[in-house]
Amino acid sequence: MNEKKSDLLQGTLDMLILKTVALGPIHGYGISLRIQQISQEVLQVQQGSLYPALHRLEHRGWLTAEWGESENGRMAKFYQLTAAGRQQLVAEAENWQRLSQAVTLIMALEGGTK
Amino acid sequence: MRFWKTWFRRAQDDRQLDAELQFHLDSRAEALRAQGLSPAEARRRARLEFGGVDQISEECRDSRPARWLYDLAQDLHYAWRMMKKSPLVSAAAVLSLALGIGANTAIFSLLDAILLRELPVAKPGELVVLNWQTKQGFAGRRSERFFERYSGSIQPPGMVGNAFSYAAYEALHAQAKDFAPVAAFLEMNRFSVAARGNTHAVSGQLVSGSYFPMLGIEARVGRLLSAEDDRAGAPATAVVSHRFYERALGADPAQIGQVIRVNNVAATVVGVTPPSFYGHEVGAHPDITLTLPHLRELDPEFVKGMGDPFTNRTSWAIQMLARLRDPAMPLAQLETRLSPLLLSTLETVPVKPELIPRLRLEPAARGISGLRRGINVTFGVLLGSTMLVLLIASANVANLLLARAMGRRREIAVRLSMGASRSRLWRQISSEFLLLAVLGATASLLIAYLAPAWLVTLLPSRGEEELTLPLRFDWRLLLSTAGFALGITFLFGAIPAWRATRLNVTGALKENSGSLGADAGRGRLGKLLIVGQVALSLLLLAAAGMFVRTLDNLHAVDLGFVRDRIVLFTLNAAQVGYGAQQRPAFYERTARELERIAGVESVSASLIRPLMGGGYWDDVSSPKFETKGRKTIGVGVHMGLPGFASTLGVKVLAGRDLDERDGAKSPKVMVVNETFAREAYGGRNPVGESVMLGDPKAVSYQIVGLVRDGRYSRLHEKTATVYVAAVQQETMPEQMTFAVRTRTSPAQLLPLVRAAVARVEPNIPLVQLRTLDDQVDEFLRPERLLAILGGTFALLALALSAVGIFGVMAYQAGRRRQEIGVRLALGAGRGRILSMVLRESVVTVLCGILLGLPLALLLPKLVDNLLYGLKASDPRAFLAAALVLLATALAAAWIPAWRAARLDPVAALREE
Repeated sequence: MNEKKSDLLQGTLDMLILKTVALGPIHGYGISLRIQQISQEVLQVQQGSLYPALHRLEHRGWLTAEWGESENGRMAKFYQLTAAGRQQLVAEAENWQRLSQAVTLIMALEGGTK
Repeated sequence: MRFWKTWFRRAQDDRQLDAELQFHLDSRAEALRAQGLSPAEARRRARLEFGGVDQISEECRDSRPARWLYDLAQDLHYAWRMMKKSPLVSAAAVLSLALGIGANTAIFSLLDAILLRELPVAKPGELVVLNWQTKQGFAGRRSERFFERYSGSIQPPGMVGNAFSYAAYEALHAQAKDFAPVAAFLEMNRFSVAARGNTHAVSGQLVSGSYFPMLGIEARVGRLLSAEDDRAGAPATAVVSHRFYERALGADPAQIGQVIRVNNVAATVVGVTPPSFYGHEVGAHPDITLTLPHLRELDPEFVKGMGDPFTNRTSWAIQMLARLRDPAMPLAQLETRLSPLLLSTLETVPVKPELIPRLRLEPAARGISGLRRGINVTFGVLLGSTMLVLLIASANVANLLLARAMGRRREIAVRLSMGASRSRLWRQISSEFLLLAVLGATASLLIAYLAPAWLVTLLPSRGEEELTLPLRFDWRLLLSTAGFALGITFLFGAIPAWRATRLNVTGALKENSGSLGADAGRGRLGKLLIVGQVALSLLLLAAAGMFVRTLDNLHAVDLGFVRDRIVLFTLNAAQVGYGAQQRPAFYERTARELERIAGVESVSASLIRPLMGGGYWDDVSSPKFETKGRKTIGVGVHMGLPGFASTLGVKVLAGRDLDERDGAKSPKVMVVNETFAREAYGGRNPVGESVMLGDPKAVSYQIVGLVRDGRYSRLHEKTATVYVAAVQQETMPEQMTFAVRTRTSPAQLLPLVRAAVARVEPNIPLVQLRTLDDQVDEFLRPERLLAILGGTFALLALALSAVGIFGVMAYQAGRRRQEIGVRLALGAGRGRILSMVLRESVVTVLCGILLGLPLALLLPKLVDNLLYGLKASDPRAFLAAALVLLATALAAAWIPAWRAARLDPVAALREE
């Protein structure tokens, strides 16, 4: 039924959400817009993944949420990073650094491509 | 914390989730409108981009930590609605589960108190009981023995004994640094305690000063005994149980410091143990505790018979408990380290290494108990029975839910085809069982609360007093109740769930309610459950039949004497200060005083109380015995006042009973019974023969009378018995059991008997004053327990099975309405329909009987020593059980069969 995303992808989405929320309190719609904008339309977050991920992160205690007025005057649920979430973000960022460097190193090898 | 917050806020969470997603949709639609789309089109596009809202919110809910609990609550809510639809059936299901679970919990509660509960002392896990062990038993040569006299138990393998010399205790106490500390004790069956003008016969113990400090308990009032009380020459001090404090001392703190008389020895009450404390042995509950050195004054006869344990290293009677300094140390290592201490205290060390005793330590967190050994088999049977009852009840409920689930097969098929997961449906269906089990378990607590106290009264009592067990209604009971409820849910809740989710989706969707054969699978499973129920019921019925007949047989046993007009009671003259020289006169005077009561026909006494399972056993020998090679016969001896046999109503067949002529100075004579005459003389009249009585010191006796057989120690067997006069023996017994035969019903004479004894000696307690009838009942308690409970469980099983058969047959007949309608329309007679339904039920039950019979045939072997007067091959119990089951099945199936036969074919066929 609901296909489970691979760990890498799921972990990456979590990290992106944490990073986006780290910039300041933001609601779910805002997060999807911001990721899209900052990544210059490369990354498009499916709502089907975004909201379950937000709730999961909230239940893990990495995010807290509060209802507040949005820019268009409606009530929206604003997410905010907790101390634990900040630590998690640092850890995941470091992890991501290592991983992407490693991938870059391998891909930088001469030959094969082309 | 968070878990519960989520749990209680779930409704609010749901609203917020909806609002959050709605906000997203609205915002996106607004953005699209800003790009120039019409409002309607913008909303449509936003929804399309977003994807399935319900699916996403479901996934968000999945991420909640209490998700499973939320589902469970939903399932239970649904199950509750299903239950309310048929309240009567549901109530019956809950009731049967309540009975099944309650019976188990009640038996478990007894088991818990006797077998599982730790002593109410500080850190019971550190306690060990000390035993000694040898590799072999004594072969009989006296020189090999390291003790002369022994009071305690000795059991195989080799010998494992629990009694030591006092010297062994002293050595271990002074030198065993691994114990912190070791305590010695000596159980005393009967103390006669005079306090505040009344005399009480109570059980008590003598302990070392280290006993209470070792157990680590605090006095409820006053203080407990300490090393100070254990010094040689210390004044007698006593600690009483809280029970005794309330009953005999009026719960009056001013009684602490007062002097009471214990076996006629003055002792100061210094304190009271806590109410929860029952000693170190379950079921024992000593009421009074003094220190060991006072043994000499308190029980001079014991010292005389056993030798002074304080000075004599060959007199072994002291038992020991110890607290380990280091509970982590392996016991085997300690045994090796401490055994030399035991060895150093032996009077003589055996030459054969196999006979050298070695210390053996056993964990004693649960105390030590003689009760455990005796009732294990009985309890095994009871627990087994209650388990079977629970299985039968559970099968009923499973069958009920199976019918319900199959009634919903279309709905289930629809949900499966819409993508509901099987495990989710499984959980939902089995949660219906869970709900019934939880309700049943809750109702069963009432049984678990009330029944154990009643069960204790069915258990064999402990001498005068009913058994006192530390029964408590606590978390252990709640836990076991919950365990039973969950256990049956896992076992039986799975059955309907498994069957219902296994269905073929397309088949179930296509079929219409009237199709034939579609339910064959469900019918089979339901009948299979019935077969199992019947097999188990057969077991219970057969067992109950055997237990009831055992009790009947025992009640019908010809005791050889009248049983309805005899009063028995025991007097211990030694305890109240009568020496061996004074006792004959005392017993004589008591008998005369009793004879003066109007309505008393005759009075006599014997050392042995008949039919209490005890006895005084000795050997009779003669070269003239007409036995093959055997010149010695083991006999039970009645040693007492003249005329004991006649007083009991045992007929004199030849010669005479003992009488006044047989005094201390006259020639030694004995009266023998028929069994003895048969064993020794092939049944011919032995009057006039000379025999030797006693081993090893034999004394010559002349047989002066032959009497009928009277049961001696137990109801179960005939014993070769001889009657001798106590005054002709070397020592006068310390205690005697008086038999008083009355002309009328003896119950109203009891107070007169009490008064008559008090006129002779006001300080002596009458122990176990009761009629012989009551005593027989008392003796048969284990058998009665089995007959009553076995019968109850069997009836319960029968009723539950009947309900099960009725349910399945009614369901089957209901599903086959159309088929039956067709048959009737085609001309089948109503009698034919009736017999068709009945036959189905009978065949099912016969299958169950065939399955249960081989199991039931194993029963007599399994419980052999609980039965009396039954042959293992006796088919009656099984036959009766099978017939009862068949009759029950016919009766249970009658209503559905009758209804099926009276079906209106037109109406049945029109239904669709």
